[in-house]
Amino acid sequence: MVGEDVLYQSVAEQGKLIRARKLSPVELAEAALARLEKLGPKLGAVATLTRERAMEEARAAEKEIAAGRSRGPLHGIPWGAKDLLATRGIPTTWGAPPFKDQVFDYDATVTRKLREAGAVLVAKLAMIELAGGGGYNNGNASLQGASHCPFNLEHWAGGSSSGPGAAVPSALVGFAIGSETLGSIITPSAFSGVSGLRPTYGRVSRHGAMALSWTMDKLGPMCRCAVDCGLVLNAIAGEDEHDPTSSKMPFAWWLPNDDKKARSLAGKTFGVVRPPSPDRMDEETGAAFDAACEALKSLGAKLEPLELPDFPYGPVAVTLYSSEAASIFRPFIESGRFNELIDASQRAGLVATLSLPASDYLDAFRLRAQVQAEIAKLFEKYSAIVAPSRTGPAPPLDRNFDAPPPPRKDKPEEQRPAPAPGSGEKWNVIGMSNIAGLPAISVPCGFTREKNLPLGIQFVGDAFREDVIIECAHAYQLATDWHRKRPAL
Amino acid sequence: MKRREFAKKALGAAAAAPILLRRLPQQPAQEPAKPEPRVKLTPEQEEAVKKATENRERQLSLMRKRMLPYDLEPAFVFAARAKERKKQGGKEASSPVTVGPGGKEATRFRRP
Repeated sequence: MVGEDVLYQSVAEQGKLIRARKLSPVELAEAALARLEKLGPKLGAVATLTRERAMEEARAAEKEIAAGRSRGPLHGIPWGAKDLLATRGIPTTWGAPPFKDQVFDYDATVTRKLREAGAVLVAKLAMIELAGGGGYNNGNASLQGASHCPFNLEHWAGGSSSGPGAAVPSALVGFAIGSETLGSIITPSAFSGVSGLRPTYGRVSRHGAMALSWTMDKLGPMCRCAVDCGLVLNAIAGEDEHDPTSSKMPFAWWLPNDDKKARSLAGKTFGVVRPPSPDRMDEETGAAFDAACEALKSLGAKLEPLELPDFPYGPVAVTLYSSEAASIFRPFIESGRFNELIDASQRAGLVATLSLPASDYLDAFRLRAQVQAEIAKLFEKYSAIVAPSRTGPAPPLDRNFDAPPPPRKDKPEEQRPAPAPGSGEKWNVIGMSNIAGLPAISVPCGFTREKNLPLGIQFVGDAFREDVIIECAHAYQLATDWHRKRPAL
Repeated sequence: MKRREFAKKALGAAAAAPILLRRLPQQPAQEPAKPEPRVKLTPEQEEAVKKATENRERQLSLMRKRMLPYDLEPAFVFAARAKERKKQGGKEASSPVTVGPGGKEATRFRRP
């Protein structure tokens, strides 16, 4: 019988036990499936349980390991796929009612690579419908319903990779694969206490994943620690003949043997993007971020305040992905089936994409070239850009995202206006890094006092330097234990 | 027909044309037929789409007001480019860097 303590272990720890034949992949898969059945509905984490495939893969893993043939650190580890990854013979709903019966007859490249690495697919995980491509204004915008933050079930898990956000920190799976176009890995990682890595654009093949934006979609691991992100990325990175934008750049990252060296950030310089609180960032989030920066300093890193170059990151990002989404979903929109989507603002947003002028799309691409050049200069000086993953904790499940921000704690009677468009761009790290296609990792850096909501810090790296940001996040996690907190479920 | 005779007849025809045209039955002025909208919306949805479009226009205005250099070209095939890095954190860049003519880093655009 596999106990809860084992289920909460990292992939690296579980893998070690499996290879030493102290942990059976079959028993681990059975335990994960039982936990998914028990807690999945409570958390709104699951789209489909893949029991049959899981047991077949687990038995194959057990047989191979018994015969002394290990496929590496993911062999026998249960994982969950955001429900936009094609999985042969299993429904892939894209989180949207019009696609609830959609079944592909092939595996996405990522799914195939993980199968080859010996990982065991136990579930397709919930997501915001169509990854929120039309713009959504609440956490319920999903065929599977809202996903809950495991640390406080009255709050949202974050999106659009909401199921992975709920499932990973509650140990329903060993790890998950999420996707990000504009914040969909970083946000649920911050809101739910996940260590989530958004790789460089092109690092991981997008073949078989729902396309929202050909030039902005990325697939990446969502795990319980930074080391696991590196191990999973090892398995899924690489060129793919089915994705012409996939990169040849090699990636190989392994757990450092020298623990003392791994704990040191000496020689690293971070540019720190810190929105001012309380106007632009919740105060507790600001305090947790400041404490995290102190921890980085104590590890030997040099920190310098940084303001992002002046660009309209948000409008550029939205124009890029909306234009591409318009082309991708035009037949779906024009068929009238968009009316079956759950969220009204998503329906309206998708229709509105059809009238985006081509000249704006091209201008966004031209600005993108300028952004890339300017941001590249920053990495001549900085090892990484460090920022709060989000400027506040997870919102309550019933929050309308379009509503003005909630009043400040010290002035509860004062209604705050919504920030003016474009006024927060110098702190828009998610927008900047997604436009430039840069990698980022978000790791937990604290919890709010009253509501026990996770808070995150993100490290943004230079293109194809996931190794650097994983090392930084790993060093931080060796010095802190926020990532080891377990939700009371 | 002599040139002078032709000119006389042509002048007469030109003078008579407006009178003759006025005698023709007048065609009612017609607007070009509007194409059937491809997406059928309820009035409520039309309002929501209008709101979404207005919101987008506000965002786009922030982008449109920037003057872009004439020679700034879009990256038609987007690629996040790796660039040569200085030694940082005691570690050399491990990723290979393509070096183009003149020692400049080659762009990493892939052929379609």
